[in-house]
Amino acid sequence: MTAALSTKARWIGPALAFAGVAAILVVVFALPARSLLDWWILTTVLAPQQVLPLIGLAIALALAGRGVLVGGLVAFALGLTGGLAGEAVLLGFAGGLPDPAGLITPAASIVVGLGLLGPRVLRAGLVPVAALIAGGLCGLFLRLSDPSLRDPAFPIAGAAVVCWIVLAVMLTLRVLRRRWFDVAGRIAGSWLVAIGLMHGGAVIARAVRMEQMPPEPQTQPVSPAARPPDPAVPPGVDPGSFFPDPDTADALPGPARPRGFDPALQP
Amino acid sequence: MRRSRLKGGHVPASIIALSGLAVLGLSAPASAHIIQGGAGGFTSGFEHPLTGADHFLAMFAVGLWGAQMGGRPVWSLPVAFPLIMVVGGIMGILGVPMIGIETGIALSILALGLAIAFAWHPPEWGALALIAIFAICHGYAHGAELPRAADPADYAIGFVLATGTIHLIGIGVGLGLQRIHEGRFSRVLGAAIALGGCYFLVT
Repeated sequence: MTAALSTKARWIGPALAFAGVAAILVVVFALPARSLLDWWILTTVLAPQQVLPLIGLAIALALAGRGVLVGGLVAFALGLTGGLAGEAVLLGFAGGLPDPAGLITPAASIVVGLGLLGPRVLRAGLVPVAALIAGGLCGLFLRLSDPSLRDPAFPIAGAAVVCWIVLAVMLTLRVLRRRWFDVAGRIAGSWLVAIGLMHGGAVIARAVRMEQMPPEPQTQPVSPAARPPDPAVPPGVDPGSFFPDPDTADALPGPARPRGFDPALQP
Repeated sequence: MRRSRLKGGHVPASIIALSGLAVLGLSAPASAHIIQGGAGGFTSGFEHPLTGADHFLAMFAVGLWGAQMGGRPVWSLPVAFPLIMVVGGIMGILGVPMIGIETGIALSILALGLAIAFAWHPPEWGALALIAIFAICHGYAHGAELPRAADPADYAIGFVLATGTIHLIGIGVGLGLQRIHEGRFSRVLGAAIALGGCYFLVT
């Protein structure tokens, strides 16, 4: 009975991974229309720079012993909750940095990469700390990228997707674990640190250059009467008669449009 | 105490012949670095090391050399390379002036190829110091392009993943070839890579 249970438990990770990937494929290919939540998850929560540190953390947890694994998962959950709830406090720490929001995912990559790169003796202490920090940064990223006006469905769905990535990858790797995974984990750690440093460096360089750029000169709008005549418009014809002013367009004859309807915003 | 040593004192004629063929195959110019125009996202970053023969040869040689040395260098060289490359990358991003980058890249291919061809097994710190110098040259060239990238995150991810993949290919080929004819094929490949380095140095 116990053996049969453990055999079944081995397949939880791959089944979780398969179910999640299937759900993503359904949203991408089968749904006739995507909601804002679907769009946000596909383009932001599942963005490569956000997913890579989570995969790195899952590798670190898969390589760890049972105690470190449980401690790491608890630390990640605490960090994630703290990141979602303590947005103002966490952003206060990064007050002096240029573009702190852009540095969240690079910082997560570096922290998780260092956790993977560390010597095996230190890894038991490094992995839970990395999980706590990565969870906090992930929660902050979800909160800052949330396009809704504080709709609770967004952070809950985002956190669920994030937890799915960590659990599915970690459980799958623990089933497939081989001796050379330790070396592969270190190589993945070095990649994560390199990605984080290069991405972070580019974000800082871009922010600094934007700050150093001179402000664009303010131009006064030219009144229609002061504009030079358009050679393409025949003399005596009012251009406003065939290009109606958008402010007064609703008053023109034509099919009725709902209040607040703006054709420019339609897909 | 471990000492640096050279295995073998001469290069067989077969190595020279194969190296000549390899050089003929390297007809594409050294196009991986200082590209003209803007860089894009993940695809652009991933393609960059793969489509430039100079970068590809150097990354492949790092993996091959590590596999040839055996033991810890199998993974310590490919782990150290991207980390040190980032230092050069950040220097490139910040626009720190550096001269002789292209020459350094060509020299890296030549030196790594020669190290493999002569089965040079220096102490681990010596090998790491050597690749550190070359990693800074490669990183600088790529970092200089990164701020212009449309999406620096995707570009960096694609670039590092491609670089790591080439290292893994080098390790795989190296470990496979070490079992055949006492690793002579690895040395032949090393000589071919060194000749490729000569080509990039001259052009």
